[in-house]
Amino acid sequence: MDKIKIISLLLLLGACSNPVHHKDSLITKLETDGATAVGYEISAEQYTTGIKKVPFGNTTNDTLFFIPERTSRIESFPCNKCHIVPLTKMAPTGGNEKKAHWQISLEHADREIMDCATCHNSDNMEYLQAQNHRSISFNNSYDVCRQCHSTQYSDWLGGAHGKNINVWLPPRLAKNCVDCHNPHSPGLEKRWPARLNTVKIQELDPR
Amino acid sequence: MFFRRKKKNQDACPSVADNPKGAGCSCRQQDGYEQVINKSLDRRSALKGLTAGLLAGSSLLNTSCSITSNEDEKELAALKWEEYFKGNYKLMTDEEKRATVERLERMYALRNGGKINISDKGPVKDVLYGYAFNISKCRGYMDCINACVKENNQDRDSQMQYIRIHEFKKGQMNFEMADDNFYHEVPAEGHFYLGTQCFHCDNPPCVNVCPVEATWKEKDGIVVIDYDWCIGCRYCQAACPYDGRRFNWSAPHVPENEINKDQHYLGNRLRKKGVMEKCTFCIQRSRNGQNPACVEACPTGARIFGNLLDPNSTIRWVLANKKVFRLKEDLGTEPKFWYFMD
Repeated sequence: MDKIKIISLLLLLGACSNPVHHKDSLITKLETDGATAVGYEISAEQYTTGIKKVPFGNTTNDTLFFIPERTSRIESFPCNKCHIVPLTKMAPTGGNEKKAHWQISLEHADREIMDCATCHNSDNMEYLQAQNHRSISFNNSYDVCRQCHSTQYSDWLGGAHGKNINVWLPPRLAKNCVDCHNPHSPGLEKRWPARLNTVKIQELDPR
Repeated sequence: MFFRRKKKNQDACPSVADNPKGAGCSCRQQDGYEQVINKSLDRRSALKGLTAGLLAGSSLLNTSCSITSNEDEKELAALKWEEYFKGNYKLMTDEEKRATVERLERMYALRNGGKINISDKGPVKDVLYGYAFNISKCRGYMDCINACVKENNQDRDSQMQYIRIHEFKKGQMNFEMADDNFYHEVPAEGHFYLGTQCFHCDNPPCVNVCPVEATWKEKDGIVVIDYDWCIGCRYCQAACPYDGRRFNWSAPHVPENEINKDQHYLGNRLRKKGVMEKCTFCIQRSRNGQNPACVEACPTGARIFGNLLDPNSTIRWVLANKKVFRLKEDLGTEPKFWYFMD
């Protein structure tokens, strides 16, 4: 009986000084097992084959991740199909005919701060432009956005803003800013939920 | 008591060591079902004999009563019989896993005429799945739930959903004050949205209470259920502090043309009446490197998924650079599901 008492006392002490969930904490596991990069034995390439990718950034450094190519998805690209003369020479004729790009309305900041030429390079319509008039390819439009939205940009680089496409497995393929936000009207809209929750559906349609 | 128990352990282990199929014994006390499983070889061969007998009997009966009886029905009966006596998936060898998966695929083909593809893919090496949810981004659109129901073949009749989206008034986070049944355009002014589902705890209380070990944590951290081993006692549902588990009160029904035919044994294969189910991080997708359906469907990018053991993954960046929190952290359940704000 004494032995049992001693053993149970020891067990009790052990249990007090070392609670189960602290001993093998998840964070400890991440710090030890997750310290070095892992080599994956599987590949998820087949889930992104349909997407034309471009590496992020223009540097010769290691590519951080990939983004979908943009220019081939812009309806009226290349712009020089129409823009063969400088924009100043394409001034409206004053008639009542439908203007090009009539469907675009700018709902981004206010008109005193931003107009078309804030982002579009009026000297070369094939390109966007930065504040310092550097030309930026439509594929790298994030370089335009990040001039103002720097917090969102750094979150996007890390992966807290935006979203990865199809796969979690590296190489990372992430949506570009304009894949979610319409640059002419970047806010997401208010709408009805795509579905209601279980209780609400049953309430509205009792069986 | 202590000594008697220990002695029993010592007695039990050698018998398992003799049996090469007795996988899973780590010299702890053996449960009743393990003892049964460890003897399953003899039992199974005996059953095979019985099956043959049954086949002979039933075919005799069939042919005598009906002329429409055919080979398919006989095959189905035999498959059902073998399925009925199979073991716990956790203890199956790779061959046994393959065999049950093939039986299930064949049974579906015989019953419904279509082809489904059930995977028995195991965990990927050096992977521990983790999830982060951005409560500043979620807008309550519920696209995730649509995608989840579609992907995971949830019961359409009872409107089963694994994910719940809670609407909170800004300035507090009391779940009793949250509205889950919102019925208006979203996001509502002055509100934020927070989604819950199975958190795949690293220390899952639901696993500990299962009396038949029909639910367990896989190596990659996904908490899974063997739907064919579950007895439907719902202890796990009571033990889960996060409302992560769902029960099939009636036979689940998915219209034939809506069934997702890419399935996993531990994931979205068709369930039956009286068993538990829950989110599996879309095991049939995530083990192939794909994102879960909810992550892919989210139009706001509020859902982030990845490998916690990969220091270059986006989920690790979020954990390292954002102020993250988990629900009911004081319970020590260690959910692998974090929340954060922009």
